[in-house]
Amino acid sequence: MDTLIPLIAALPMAGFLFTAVVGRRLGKRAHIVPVAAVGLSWAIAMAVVATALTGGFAEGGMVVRLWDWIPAGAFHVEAALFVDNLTACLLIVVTTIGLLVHVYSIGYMSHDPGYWRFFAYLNLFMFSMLLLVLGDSWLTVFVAWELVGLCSYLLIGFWYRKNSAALASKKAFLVNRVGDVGFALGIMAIFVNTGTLNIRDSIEVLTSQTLVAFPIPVAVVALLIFAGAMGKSAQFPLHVWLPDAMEGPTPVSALIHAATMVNAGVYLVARANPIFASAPEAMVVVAGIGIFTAILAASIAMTQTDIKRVLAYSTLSQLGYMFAALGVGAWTAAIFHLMTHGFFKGLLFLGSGSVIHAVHEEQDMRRMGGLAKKIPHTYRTMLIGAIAIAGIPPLAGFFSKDEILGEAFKAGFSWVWAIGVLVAVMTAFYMFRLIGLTFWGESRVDRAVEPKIHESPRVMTIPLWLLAIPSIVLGLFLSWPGPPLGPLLGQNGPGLLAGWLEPVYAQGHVILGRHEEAFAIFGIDGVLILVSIAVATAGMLAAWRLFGVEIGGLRRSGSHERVRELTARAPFLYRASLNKWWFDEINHLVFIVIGGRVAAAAWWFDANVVDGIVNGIGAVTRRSGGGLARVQTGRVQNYALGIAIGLIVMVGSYALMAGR
Amino acid sequence: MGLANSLDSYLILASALFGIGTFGFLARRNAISMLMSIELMLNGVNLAIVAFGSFIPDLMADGSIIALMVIAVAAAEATVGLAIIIAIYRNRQTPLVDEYDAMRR
Amino acid sequence: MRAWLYLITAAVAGAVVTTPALLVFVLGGGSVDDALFVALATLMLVSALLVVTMRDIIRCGLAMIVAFLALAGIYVIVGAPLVAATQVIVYIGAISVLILFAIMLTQSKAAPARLVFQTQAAPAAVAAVILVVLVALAVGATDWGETATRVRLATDTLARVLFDDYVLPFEVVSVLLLAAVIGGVFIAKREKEPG
Repeated sequence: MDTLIPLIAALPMAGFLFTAVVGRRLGKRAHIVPVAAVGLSWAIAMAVVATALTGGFAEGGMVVRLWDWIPAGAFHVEAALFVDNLTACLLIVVTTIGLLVHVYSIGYMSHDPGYWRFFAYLNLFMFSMLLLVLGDSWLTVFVAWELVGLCSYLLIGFWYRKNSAALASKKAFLVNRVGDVGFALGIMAIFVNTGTLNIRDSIEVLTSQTLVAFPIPVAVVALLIFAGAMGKSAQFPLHVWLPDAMEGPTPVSALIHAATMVNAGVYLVARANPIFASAPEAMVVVAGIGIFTAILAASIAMTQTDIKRVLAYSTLSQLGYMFAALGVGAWTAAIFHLMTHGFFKGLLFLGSGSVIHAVHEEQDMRRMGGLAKKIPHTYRTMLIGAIAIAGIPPLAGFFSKDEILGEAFKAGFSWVWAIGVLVAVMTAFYMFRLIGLTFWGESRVDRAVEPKIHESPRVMTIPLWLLAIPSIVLGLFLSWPGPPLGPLLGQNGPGLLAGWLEPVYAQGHVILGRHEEAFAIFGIDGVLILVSIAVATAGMLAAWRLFGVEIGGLRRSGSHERVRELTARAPFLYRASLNKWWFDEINHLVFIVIGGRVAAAAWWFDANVVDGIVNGIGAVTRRSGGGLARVQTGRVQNYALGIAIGLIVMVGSYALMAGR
Repeated sequence: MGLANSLDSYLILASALFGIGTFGFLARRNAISMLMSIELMLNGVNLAIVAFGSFIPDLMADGSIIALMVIAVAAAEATVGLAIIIAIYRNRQTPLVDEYDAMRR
Repeated sequence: MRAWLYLITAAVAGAVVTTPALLVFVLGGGSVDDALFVALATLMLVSALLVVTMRDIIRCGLAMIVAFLALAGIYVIVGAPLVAATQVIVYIGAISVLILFAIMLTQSKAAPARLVFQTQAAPAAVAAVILVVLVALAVGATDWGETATRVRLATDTLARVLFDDYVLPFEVVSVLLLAAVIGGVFIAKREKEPG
């Protein structure tokens, strides 16, 4: 096990190095080594996960010490990997979806001249992400954090000749950086407070010492860590990069911006849950920002016309859900939603990639429609994904989303619950809007392209089905035998996932001081479940009314007039939603225009005052030098006079001193 | 008055001669005038040496001998100095030192 | 006409020189030695001043000769007749003549330059005066011990000391003179015209 765990991360690294060096020459075969590396890594990861979740590791998880990284006296950092149940859950998501995206990319990127480069970057990303979840020290996590950001930059800007892609990758990196500053400060604060950068040790110190106050309050530390999570997981106000990141190839969007990288923030907060539990104010902030992002993004998603943009905002919204869950203390629910969301969002993105591939790189939904019969595999899997994300039972999304909302309500955060319910309505609505516009109704596809619509090759559709399966069953699987189905069928006890994660969150729960209530399926919990199902169905039906439906025998065509009517009734909201609530414009105004003026003023100061002083010193030197140079007349008599004067001064002063 | 008998008066006289020579060296423009001033300075020093030799018993013969050496050296120096001045005059066509400015900036 | 002018100048000069001497002799009650000393001293200083202040260089040279003569006389008074003789032979007979020759060789066609003194003449004068004052003060403040009388040096004593103890410097000086002669001739030689 000691050698297997590092291999999980080392294999993709080896794949990256190999492909980076010789990939160009391999042409169409450049995918073999990277996919094999990730496949092997997946297999090893599954073995490790199985060992971990069945109790194969010690109580606190398994630590694999690699080497002494920074032995600098008081500042001592080891390079080590750590696997506990939380890591195992993340490993499942990262390696599985990573492998499926790699396979999918064989088909999707087959015509791209940068084929080898894509796989090299993907492998590098896998390595970074795995290092992030496996790392045992804050510093390791930070290094991996930055590496993941770098891979995001490389992959978003993969088609670097396209101006919009280059700008988007730069935007992603810069906004990420803002969050990273907070994270770095948080790590420094942790070190100042505890003197160690080991995750487990520092958490222990931070949560145990309650008598003497820390130099930096725990709430501040928690908020700084959350700042990093905000950047990476695109929470308000650092959310602006994620929609633009859709400039990258669709597999990238699926892997990085749906299933793995954006989950790093959630993982970080979950890992640091005792710190957050010790700082209730920070948790309220997390919940607030999370749920606000959720409703903000959902409101924007309702009017977007680019299929990938809708999914991007949907991701933002679901991430908001996860942070809301973390904020109210429902950590298990957050990880549950992380896992289910990874699968069905990955499915939706890969499916959208398949759609785009089918209609020859068209991404605007207004020029799609009626594709259900023509690309059946894609259609069916995406429909499954849409039902899952809308929260219709018994698919995965229902279980995780409902758990979040239920926990929020029971913990006393009714405002979070209320907004979450609203978001659920909107989620169902815009997802079925997407399905309706894309697959149902009349075909609005460009006449020239229409005859050429074809289903994607098997190498792309098989991953879709492989992702659809967890989207259907994962919710049931992970929550059994606990709520909500367990009590209904007479079972008692926590769900599977809750059982796995219980040791990870035990300390946090103790600090929070909440006591477990029995799950009242016929009481408050049942009511909440019914509310969730009701609002999801309501949203779905509303979408069917406006955009049509063609499931089974249910046929209805969408009506554009009603859509226009509705948008006419709320023109401001429509425009605000369409323009993403003008956040990009606000950012531009504040940072570029105003910030630009401040920078110009600072430049003026530097050029004139600072440089003026420096140049002034130079000028003084030069002029005084010029003045003093006049002593050098070149005439011996002048020098002799100098000697005579010097002699007089010396003799005179000696005479004076002697005379005293 | 004992003027001729006091060492001080000879020394003061010698320093006066030296001072006049200094002034001439620093103030005259003609190179040969500068050389003449140098001769005056040497003579002033010579007088002081001879005076010491005469008044201090231990230095009786030494004073005169040193003075003789000084005269000889002064002669040698005057020879070479004048030769140089003549050579420069041939080059520059002027005996005035402030016009010897080829090495000036 | 000119001759009268010169005679009057000479008379004035003589008066200038002898008056202080007579004063010392009569008023100070000093000996002949003192009077002679004062006369010669005055003559020497005045002619030295003339050397450094006159416009015409040849006249400066002649004044220098007078100064050397006066100095020789003072050497006699102090009790070093050999030095006095050497002074006359070498300084007046050789060096002054050399200087006059050099003056003649370096006379520019034009009239003597308009400026006699450099721009720094004033500070130079001040410096020289201060220098003299400092030395005089130092001399006056020093106690030279029992040096009441001046001793006249016999020439044979001088000769004995010179060739017994100081024979090496004597030889070195002669070599120096040889070097100076050769060097002087070489430097002042006219360069051969090309071709």
